[in-house]
Amino acid sequence: MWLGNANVARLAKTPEVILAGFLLLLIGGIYLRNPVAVNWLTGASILRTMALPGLVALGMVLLMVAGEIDLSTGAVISLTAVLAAWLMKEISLPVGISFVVALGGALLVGLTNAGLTLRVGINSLLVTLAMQFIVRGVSYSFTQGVPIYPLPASVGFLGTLRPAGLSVAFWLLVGLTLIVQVVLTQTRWGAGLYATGGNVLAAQICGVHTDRTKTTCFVLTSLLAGTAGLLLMSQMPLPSGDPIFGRNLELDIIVGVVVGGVSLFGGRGSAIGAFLGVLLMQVIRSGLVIARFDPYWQVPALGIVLLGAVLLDVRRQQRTLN
Amino acid sequence: VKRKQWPELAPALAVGFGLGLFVLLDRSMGQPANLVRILTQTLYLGLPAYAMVFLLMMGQIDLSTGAVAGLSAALVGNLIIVQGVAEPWALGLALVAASAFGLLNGWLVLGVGVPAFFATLSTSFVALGLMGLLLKSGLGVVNVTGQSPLLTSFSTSGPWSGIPWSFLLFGGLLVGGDLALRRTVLGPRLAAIGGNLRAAQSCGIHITLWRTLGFMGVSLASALAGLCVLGIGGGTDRNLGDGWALWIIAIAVLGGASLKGGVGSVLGCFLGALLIQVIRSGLGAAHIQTNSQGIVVGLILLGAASLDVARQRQRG
Repeated sequence: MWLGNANVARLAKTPEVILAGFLLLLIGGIYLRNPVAVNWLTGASILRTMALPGLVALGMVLLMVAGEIDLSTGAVISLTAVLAAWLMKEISLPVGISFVVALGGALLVGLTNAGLTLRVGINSLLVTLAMQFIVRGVSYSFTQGVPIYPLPASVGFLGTLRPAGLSVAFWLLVGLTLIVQVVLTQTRWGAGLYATGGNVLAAQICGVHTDRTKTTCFVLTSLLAGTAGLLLMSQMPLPSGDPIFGRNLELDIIVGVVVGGVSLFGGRGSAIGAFLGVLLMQVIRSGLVIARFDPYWQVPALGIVLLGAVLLDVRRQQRTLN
Repeated sequence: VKRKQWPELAPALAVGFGLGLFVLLDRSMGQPANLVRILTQTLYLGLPAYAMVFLLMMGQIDLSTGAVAGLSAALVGNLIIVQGVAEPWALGLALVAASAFGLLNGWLVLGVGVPAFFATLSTSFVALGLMGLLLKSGLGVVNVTGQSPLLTSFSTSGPWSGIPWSFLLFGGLLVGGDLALRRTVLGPRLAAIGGNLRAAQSCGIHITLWRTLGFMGVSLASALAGLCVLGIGGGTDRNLGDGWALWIIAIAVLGGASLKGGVGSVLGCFLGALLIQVIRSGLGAAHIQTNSQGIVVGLILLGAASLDVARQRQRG
């Protein structure tokens, strides 16, 4: 009997199920405060907004399962947008080539993060925090702080598509979430990833190339951030490369991922959990507005949710160690 | 025989080189008034970095420094202007609040067991959010010009022209802290906590107490630095403290403190603060905008961290 009582009890304790329950409660609470605003239109807008941090969060799940982190993602979002916009406007490169070159820039950031963390041996938090400042500094200095526009009309093509009322970015997120989930749970590479984050030494003895695995994760995270930057540019009402893109988005991403059950200590986490976590972040952000709370509460609310998630994570870790 | 190490030598040489370079590029940089200004400005980042040296020695770190500085300034501004609280009470309350914030950081890290990086990153967002709430009524700005005589005189005037009381306090702390680390049992004690936790425990050192004091010290120092900026500028906005956390860690590490704990130098930290201030003045004089300055901050932090890794390897 797969659905025996014991299985149900175990399932009910997974972070994903707790999170889904919490989401429903939250939506119920918002409904009580403002029933008119809880409808499909609001829901669709929340899902469209969560798509971009969600995409980056998928990379972050891989990276955090491997025991590293990336705080430079928000800056990479602005870098690719600005770089692509600059190439299109100043050098008149075709849209496709500009996008590819911009993603090349993101790839370079990922490789730098990996090199400094794994070769030089600096803590990845510090490396990527420093890279956040460097990369955003580069975005600002190449634009003098002002958005680059106008851009060719075809830039906005992907961003204006609305398959099933949602955005291309959202469907891409759904597809990638499923792929990442399968890779994590069903492949040898996924098993190696969990081993890398759980116990590096043991993983190395078992023949996992831990440094190569981590490098892949750093690069994937940066590439996903780059993709999010290009999609964001494409979604703007007036497509432009604005250096302010992605500001403080690292927070939403990391809080979402941690709330979704990914451990700060590595070795634990799932793509579906991260998806739900980022969704929860967006519901809280939008919910505070819909439920007519002061918008100034958004940042402290996210900080408090992060603290709560971190506390839960520490408890889980201590239970595992015991 | 082990050769005596001089971790302060590298930052001292760098300060000399940086100053020389900027004076060559722009003669006005070398004027005594300008040099004194740079010296006194080391206070803002130097004071939190000074407290960070002790915390880093004990193997912990705090990323909420800039947010606490901004929050404290916003709190004092709000209390004086919006709530109409008398200035001494407002200042006292802000310092108490900052100590409580340090206690919160300490509890999360030491009591609950959250890694310090994450705990202080989360609390920094809480602090930033609270700062936004406090500044809301003034649309993000609070102006205390003329309403805070105590703070203004503490941070701008002193017994000698150009050197304010706040800097004299900083100087006293530097001398006292350096002597305490070199000459008293405090130095070996903190080094033991950060270098070999089990040995420190066996020696009967109250680790949690010392580390909690370390977190409270960093929060207090950050608050004091934020208040001094408020006193000089006569007001505060959401940008106060923005990006400080990185500069502060870079200063402490440049001055010889290790991110792995166990080592640190107050004199080195002061030289690091001086170096960073020289660089910042140079960037300001060259009219490089704040966001682009991030490139320099990031590179310096990476350089300092690489230096730290190299030093660790050298020690074995």
